[in-house]
Amino acid sequence: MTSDFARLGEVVAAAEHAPCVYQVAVQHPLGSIPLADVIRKADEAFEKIIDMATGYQVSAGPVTAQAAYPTEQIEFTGTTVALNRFFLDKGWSLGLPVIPPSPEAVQEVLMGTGRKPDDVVGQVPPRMGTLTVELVAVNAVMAGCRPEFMPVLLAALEALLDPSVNWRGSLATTATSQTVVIVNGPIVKELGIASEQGAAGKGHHINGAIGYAINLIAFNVGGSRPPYVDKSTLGSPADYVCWVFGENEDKLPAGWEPLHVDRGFQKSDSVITVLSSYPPVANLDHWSTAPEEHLRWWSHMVSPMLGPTRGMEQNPIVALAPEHAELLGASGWSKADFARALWQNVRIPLGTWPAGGQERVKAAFSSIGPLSPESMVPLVLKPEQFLIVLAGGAGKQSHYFPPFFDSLPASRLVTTQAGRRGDHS
Amino acid sequence: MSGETFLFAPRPRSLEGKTVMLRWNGKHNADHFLNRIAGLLTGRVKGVRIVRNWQVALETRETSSSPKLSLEFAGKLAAYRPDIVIGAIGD
Repeated sequence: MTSDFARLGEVVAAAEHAPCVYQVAVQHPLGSIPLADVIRKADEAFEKIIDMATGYQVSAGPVTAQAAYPTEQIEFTGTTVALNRFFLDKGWSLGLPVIPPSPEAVQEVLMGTGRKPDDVVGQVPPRMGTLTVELVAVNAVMAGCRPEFMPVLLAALEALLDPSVNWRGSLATTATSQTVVIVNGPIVKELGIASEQGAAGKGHHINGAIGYAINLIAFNVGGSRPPYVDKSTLGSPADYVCWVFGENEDKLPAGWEPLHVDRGFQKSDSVITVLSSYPPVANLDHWSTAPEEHLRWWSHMVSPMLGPTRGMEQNPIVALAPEHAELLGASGWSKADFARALWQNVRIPLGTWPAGGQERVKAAFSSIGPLSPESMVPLVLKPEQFLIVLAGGAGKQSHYFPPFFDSLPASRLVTTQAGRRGDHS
Repeated sequence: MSGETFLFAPRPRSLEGKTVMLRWNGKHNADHFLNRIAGLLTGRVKGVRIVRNWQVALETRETSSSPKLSLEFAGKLAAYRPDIVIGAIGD
């Protein structure tokens, strides 16, 4: 482990209930340095490695964790500004203003869910902090959520805690990864979740408050804090407020189903779908008048974010602007036609994949025919892997979200009063 | 909070005659680092047996932050019955 990542290693080891001192830190970096320097670092670390391999003794006794419920209450006297400074100093704030989570405010937000406050939603990575419904409400208040936002927030958190989403990786990585939350179904209009012009941008209270609450929970409960645990090389504003938008289902071309129906839900269900992704790349095709022309824009503008060959099995988000969708639908293209065309046309040279993985890529696409490093291969194994969703309002700006490594989408039903029927990963 | 209890394997007092698994996650230079460690071990520790994950279980030479995959890889490497695993994760 290199020195810059040693603290992250300790946190993850503690979260896995493993002894925290089983690693040897080597001066960062190890990658992209001359071989002679690698050898020197190995020589310098060798004795410590031998000591750790033979001399370290596991300490006995369990680690006692602080009870997660009820949440500790503190008394504070002062202005809201002073309280914000206090929270920042204590490490309970992302650096944006928070609303004081008074017991009264938390109780009010808890009225938005039928779940008990001591219900455990899950363990938030990377430090696997226990998240109770009460803690969700505390962070929801801080983010400015109203009681009626709770079902959406809880569904999003349950989806994020699905191991297939790999939220742990996204919260600790050096990559500029982000959480994307897509909302479908009647709840979009019932709550006024932004799904049209600027749906993922500013000025939409519920979208912003939910996105802020999710990231506060990742920070306060999961411990995803820069610089030692959240190792983002640069980070992004999405670390403050993650992506939350509703699908613009009204603008779906005739015969096109919304995302949640593609994923096996009924149209009348309200569903949250989440994914960890890289920042999106924009397709700003303002000129095409036929689908075949439009496809060329996707071919040229998609960023593959290549890494482990498991990327072939992942699910990029294709957030279509309604006007681009209209161009496709008016020409009689179904959603499946578009997905197939993306798969057929958005290709990269086999040689673009890291050398160590090219044999696996070759085997995966052997049905195409004999492949050389110059052969053009699809980004994903099957067209159905694309998560096609209508996003935004007027304007010819679609977006492609490459999935973060090993993140697969998870969907959860939004439970308001009735019990949930089934969730899909 | 419920959870399973498990015991950690005690460290061997010496690596003489032991099997040491070297686990590379595919990141740049970590293999060179581990190969150097292998060389130093075989030069100094009598009877040590070195097994490299990228030679015996290539599918485990992958970069991943997924807990699920970590467990899967650990299971595959455990099948080689190493006495100790030394991993280098680069970056």
